[in-house]
Amino acid sequence: MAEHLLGYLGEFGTADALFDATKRAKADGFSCIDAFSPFPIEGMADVLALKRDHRIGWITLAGGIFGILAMLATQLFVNVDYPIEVGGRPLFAWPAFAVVDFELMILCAVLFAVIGMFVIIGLPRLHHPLFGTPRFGLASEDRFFLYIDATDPKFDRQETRSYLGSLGAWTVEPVRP
Amino acid sequence: MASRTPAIPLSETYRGITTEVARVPLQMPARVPWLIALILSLALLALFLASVTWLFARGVGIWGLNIPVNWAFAIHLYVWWLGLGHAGTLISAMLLLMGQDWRNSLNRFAEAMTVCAVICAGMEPILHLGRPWFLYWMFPYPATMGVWPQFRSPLEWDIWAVLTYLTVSVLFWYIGLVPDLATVRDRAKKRGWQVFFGIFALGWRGSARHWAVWNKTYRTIAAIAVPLVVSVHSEVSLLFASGQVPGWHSTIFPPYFVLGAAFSGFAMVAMIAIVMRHTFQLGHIVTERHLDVLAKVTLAMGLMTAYGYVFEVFDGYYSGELREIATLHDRFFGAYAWAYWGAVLCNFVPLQGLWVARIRRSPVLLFLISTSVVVGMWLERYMILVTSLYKDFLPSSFGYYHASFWDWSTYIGMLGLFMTPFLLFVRFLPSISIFEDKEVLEREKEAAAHG
Amino acid sequence: MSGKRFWRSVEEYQRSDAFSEMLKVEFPSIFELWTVDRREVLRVMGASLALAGMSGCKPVRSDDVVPFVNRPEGLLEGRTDHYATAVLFEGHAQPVLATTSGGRPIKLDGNPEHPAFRGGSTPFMQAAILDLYDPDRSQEPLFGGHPASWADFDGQMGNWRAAWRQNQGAGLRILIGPTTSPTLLRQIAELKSALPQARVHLFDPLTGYAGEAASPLQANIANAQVIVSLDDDLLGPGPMQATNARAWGDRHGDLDGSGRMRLFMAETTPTQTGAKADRRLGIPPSRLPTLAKAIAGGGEVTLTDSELAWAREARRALETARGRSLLTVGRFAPADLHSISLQVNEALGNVGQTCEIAAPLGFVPQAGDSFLDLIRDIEARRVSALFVIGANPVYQSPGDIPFAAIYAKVPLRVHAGLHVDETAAISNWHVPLNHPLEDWSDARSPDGLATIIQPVVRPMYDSRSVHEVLAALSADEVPPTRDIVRPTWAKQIGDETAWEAALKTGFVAMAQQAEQAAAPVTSATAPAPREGEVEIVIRPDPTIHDGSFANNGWLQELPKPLFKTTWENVVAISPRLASELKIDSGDMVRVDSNARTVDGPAWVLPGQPERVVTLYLGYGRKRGGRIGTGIGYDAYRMRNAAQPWNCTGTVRSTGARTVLAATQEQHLMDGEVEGLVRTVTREHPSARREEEREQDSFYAKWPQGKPAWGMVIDLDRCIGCNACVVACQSENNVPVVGKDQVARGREMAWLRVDRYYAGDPQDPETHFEPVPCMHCEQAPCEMGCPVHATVHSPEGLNLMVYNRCIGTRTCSSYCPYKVRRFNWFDYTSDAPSPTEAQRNPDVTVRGRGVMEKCTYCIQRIEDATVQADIENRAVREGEVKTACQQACPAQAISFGNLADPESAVAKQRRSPRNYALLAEQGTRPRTTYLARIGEKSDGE
Repeated sequence: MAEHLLGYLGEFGTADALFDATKRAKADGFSCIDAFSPFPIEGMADVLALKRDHRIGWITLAGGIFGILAMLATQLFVNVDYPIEVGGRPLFAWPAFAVVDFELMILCAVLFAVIGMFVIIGLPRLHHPLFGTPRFGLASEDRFFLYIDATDPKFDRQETRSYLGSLGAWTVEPVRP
Repeated sequence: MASRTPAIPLSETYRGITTEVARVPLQMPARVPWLIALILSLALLALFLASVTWLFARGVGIWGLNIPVNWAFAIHLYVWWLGLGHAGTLISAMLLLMGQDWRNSLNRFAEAMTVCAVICAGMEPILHLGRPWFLYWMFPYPATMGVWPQFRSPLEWDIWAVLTYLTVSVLFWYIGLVPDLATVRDRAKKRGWQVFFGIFALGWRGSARHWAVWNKTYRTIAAIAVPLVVSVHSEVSLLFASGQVPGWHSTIFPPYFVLGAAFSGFAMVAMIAIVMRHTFQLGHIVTERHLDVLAKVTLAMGLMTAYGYVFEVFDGYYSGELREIATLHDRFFGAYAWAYWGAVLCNFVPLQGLWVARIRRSPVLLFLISTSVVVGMWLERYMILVTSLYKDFLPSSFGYYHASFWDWSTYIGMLGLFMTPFLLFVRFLPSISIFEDKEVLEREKEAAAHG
Repeated sequence: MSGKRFWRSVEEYQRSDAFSEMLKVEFPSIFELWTVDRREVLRVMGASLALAGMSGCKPVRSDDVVPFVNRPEGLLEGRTDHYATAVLFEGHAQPVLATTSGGRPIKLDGNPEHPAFRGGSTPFMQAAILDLYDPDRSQEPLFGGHPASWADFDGQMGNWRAAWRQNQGAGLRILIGPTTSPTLLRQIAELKSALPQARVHLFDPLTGYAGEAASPLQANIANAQVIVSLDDDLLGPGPMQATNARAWGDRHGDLDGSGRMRLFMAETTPTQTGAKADRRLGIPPSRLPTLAKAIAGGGEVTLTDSELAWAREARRALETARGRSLLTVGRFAPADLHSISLQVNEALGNVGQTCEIAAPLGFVPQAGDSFLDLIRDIEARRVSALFVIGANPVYQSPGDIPFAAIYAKVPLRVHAGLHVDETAAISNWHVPLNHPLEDWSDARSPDGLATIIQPVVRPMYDSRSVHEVLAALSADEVPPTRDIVRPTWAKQIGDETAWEAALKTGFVAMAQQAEQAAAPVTSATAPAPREGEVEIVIRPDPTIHDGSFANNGWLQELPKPLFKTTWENVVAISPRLASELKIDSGDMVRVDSNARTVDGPAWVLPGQPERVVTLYLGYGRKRGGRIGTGIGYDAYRMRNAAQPWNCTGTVRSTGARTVLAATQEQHLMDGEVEGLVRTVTREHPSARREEEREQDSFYAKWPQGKPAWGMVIDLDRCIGCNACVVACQSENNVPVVGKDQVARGREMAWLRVDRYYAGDPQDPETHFEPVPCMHCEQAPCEMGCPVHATVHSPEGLNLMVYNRCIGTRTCSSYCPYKVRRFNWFDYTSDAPSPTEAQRNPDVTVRGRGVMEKCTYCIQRIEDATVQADIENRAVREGEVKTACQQACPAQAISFGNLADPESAVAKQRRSPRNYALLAEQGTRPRTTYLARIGEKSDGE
């Protein structure tokens, strides 16, 4: 049986169980691992060393700055391009302009953030090998999964399977393409 | 306010939550009432389309408008709808940031309500245009004549504000929805449903990486949405405050409008919560405590709005402006006094009941009070518009406004435009945040475990 | 081809080459569109219809018509031609300058060269142009109500003529409306000599049925320093309105000391004159003679204290200004008052100074030929043929004469008129007459001068001139009208050059006939009311007059100067009587007199004498055209032939209520309006308030282009006559929207005349205030527009860009003056053809959903600017006149360049009386007002 194997998926009953398992796996030197849960588990990010990822913040900031500058530029441009007196107000009515600038800042910030998020987490991706494993569907209900990828240097077809078991996984399934 | 009584009963299980919520889209519990509601709102929608057709065929003259009162229903409803919308955003965003767990059972449909309300709100100013087919002139594009929009105009501000607000609400609502779509996808048995939810879940897998990034984004947007709400309704108020018209030309307007908006909005959320809880038997998830907290917030908002009323009066007299005072008196005793006192009555009198815990926790009473608030705010917006315009400066051009049949038909029809998408939402999408409730349950379990 | 026949075949005509040909000639621009864009043409089809209606009228360029060559100040060259001619009002000439464009007359204005009118006009002169294009004008002869041809008529006429030749015209009667046409008078004389038995009767419902002559005294108020008017509405509607108003204007406004005119007015019902009077007195008609005696100083009189005081003061004033004073008596007052005024003025040496003893200008039937005599003769079967020419007796007969029934007793009834009216309906024959602007004629203006009326357009329909019709009675061969008119003037204007000169200038000096007063026939004085009765006063309607303007949309929608109601006549009652009857404006009341009743909407009229009720003529038409029919009540029914202007009766509420289409709420002044209309005294002329010093602005001032346009309106001169309003409507293609829309507050007038009252409702001050766009330098409206549809021009105009407007209406919400008007529906495309032909080609016709407002007549400004550029100079002072300014008979409006310190407006702006409306709003209006000068100022 030499068919291709992507990794193993271990099933756990509670968030805590998954949390501890993941911690231990990390401690035991597994690096290409991922955890799946029906809801975000507090602390999981630290364990998987995702905490220090501030890209979203920066993207949002960039969006905001882009938005406000773009709109301000537009406002200034149109009043230079077609200068005409309106109610005796000055061409560059900063207080009046500020309002729309603010809106555009928000709009672009949000758009950037959302798009950024999808780019980072690589969605949309409608099919994924994990969906092939029978029990994985429960990941969105009440089960918690730890996935160890075959590319992990410490990965071994037999070892890793029993290792997952030793972490307290109820079931361990191979993930095939 | 860390809650003593858990928002979600500890007896609940993750599976329980999932099945309770996810069953609604998958196998509808209350088919009959839902169908009745849908038919009703489709009828209203038809009325709306008829009115709009006639409106576009003949012109805005079919409404009761005139000079001086050339703004009425369309504009005051615009303000009203937008106000209803705001609570949705506030509930999800602000309370999320404040870590108010109880919000999680309400935010989803509150957001959906926001989206529907904002659609209606955005509709109004368009219908009210003399030549709606030229709406696009409000956007900066290189026109043949070289003219551009006029960025000093409050109307120009509004269109951008509404546009932004609509986009942000939709996105916020959607990305919050994605994980639950995945849940429903995985529960779905029929192929059709699997594909439907599969597509909209975008292949969400609940990976720790997803959750980490998603969390950041969601909270970031939430943080942005709160000032957005404030800015949007402040802007709406500037539409009036920028004019010289006595009764409009006041600096208190922005906060006054924002609070009023939140006030009516929370009342609206309470109404919807109660209805859904009842029809879909979601009593375990939308608990009495939720109602209680909603009621408290409504009460608080109401009192702040009341302060706005008081201050407006003070403002009028303090200004010493002859016409300001005249307008004030006119609101009390004038031709449209019924609108003023109606607003005061509906907004603040039944509201006082909410001081009593028993009333707060009684769905029926809370529903009635909320209804009266929503009506009251309707009257207030009407009052602010009409009583200011119909007598402004030159007595020679004073004139009365009477809503025409088409004013009403457009408004009532628009309720259909509001309800139809909302009903479709509760029917086909998880109308309560599954994963967030699980999160809450998890935390509560933790708390229970460690003493 | 008759217009009517044409309209049956619009489409094929549209397709015909003839049409394109005609377009090429008439409307080159449209012809291009025709070839380019079909849809455009459909849009302008109205106009083409009209052209065709004018049987493809070629512009009148025949040599015998002479354009107004010497360009008068303020009139613009280039786009148009001007013809000096006249329109008729009660048979009197109202000299006008007709502006034609592409062969279509599009505007009428007072003839600036005319010594008496001097360019001033009245609402009626302005609106006359619309009558020319009245879609309901009679278009072909009718026999028994069925279309017939002139040939048929002429055939019949031949037979009748033959018969009359036999019996010298026995049994032939002519009932003719009021006329001053020398030619017509000549023709009547000729007719009488040709057919001695024929008799010509006068039908003049506004002078009376018994054939009274008008007042023997011809007032000339220009020289008067003190005027005491007994119910004489000098400034109100009438043939002399424009001339009187001009004189009034000259004697008001900024004057050094003595020049100012002082006016006493005793009136039986409020009038514009009363509103402007320095000393006004409301008095019931039955007491008017007593008052007159008191002034004449005749014997012991019983008057109330206030009346006595007024009389004494008036008398004193008259005395102090001997030779420069005038006691004038209203045309509707009983004749013995006229004799009193004659005595008094003679005693004061005013005759020849402020008034003339003048023979009547118009046609006066010889004794025994009054309308009443005609009735008698018809009853006596002495009338075999009755020609009714330019009159409508069936509608306008008094209630005690059932004329319709009597008329039916005449075997041959022929009606000649502009409309198929009530009289035409029961005539055997109806023949259409030309509109005065369509053919030659002549007439005399009240000042005695004559105007030769030259046509400015070929007849639109298959109609004839009144002269042709009259001539046909005696002559077999009728020459063209010009050849009928010309001989009248053969003696006076011999050679053709003089004739042309007369046509150019638009008036002819005319020898006054012998200086003998026409002895007024004594008509009964107003009867005293019995217990529980009220006195009833009957007056012509302020805008529809005697009913002849019933189908004129502009005048129907024109707010009545004092009531501000439109589209119907009201029953004016005093505030006290109203509260007594527990009724309010809009409640239906039933007026009962001599067993005849009318129901009409009450209007509580401040200043109305307590127990007097006023009815207004001109409404309740049964055949008044598409808009004139079936609105309002018919007050003619309440009249008595012997005493047409007064009667007594009862008034009570019917309990019903109606919606009045009033453009202004009834409103007494109070804190809210204080400061809007201001009154100062000659001693303390400063109107500007302390707090109104120009506040500083946050904003840097925009560079001021030259010229800086501005307008100043002198409230001291304004008489609230509305001429400006109609002029604006005519110049700027302002649509008529109908009663329903007006009632909803959607009237479209760009310029309105606000009316405010102050003080005691029983005896109030009345103020008029014309309100156009203020063209604010810091305009709130502009700030509100999201699409740059209303912006500011460097010359200070607040521009409205119709085709950019998307109809948010923010501008109107923000406008403190509410001068903006919105096209709630498509008001223009369904205007009945041929009225479109009147439209000013230089002004955009606005479509649905756009805002519009006063533009300071920017089209005129542009014309002048272009002209100035061509001549490489600046626009001259006075070169641009706005339509309202040009029309104003009292010269109350001045417009021009504020940047030029020498300009009239700049000077007036420096007047201490100058103030801005709502100055505290900081809008910095370009339109400002000059406060009214009163005997006491606001505060006092």
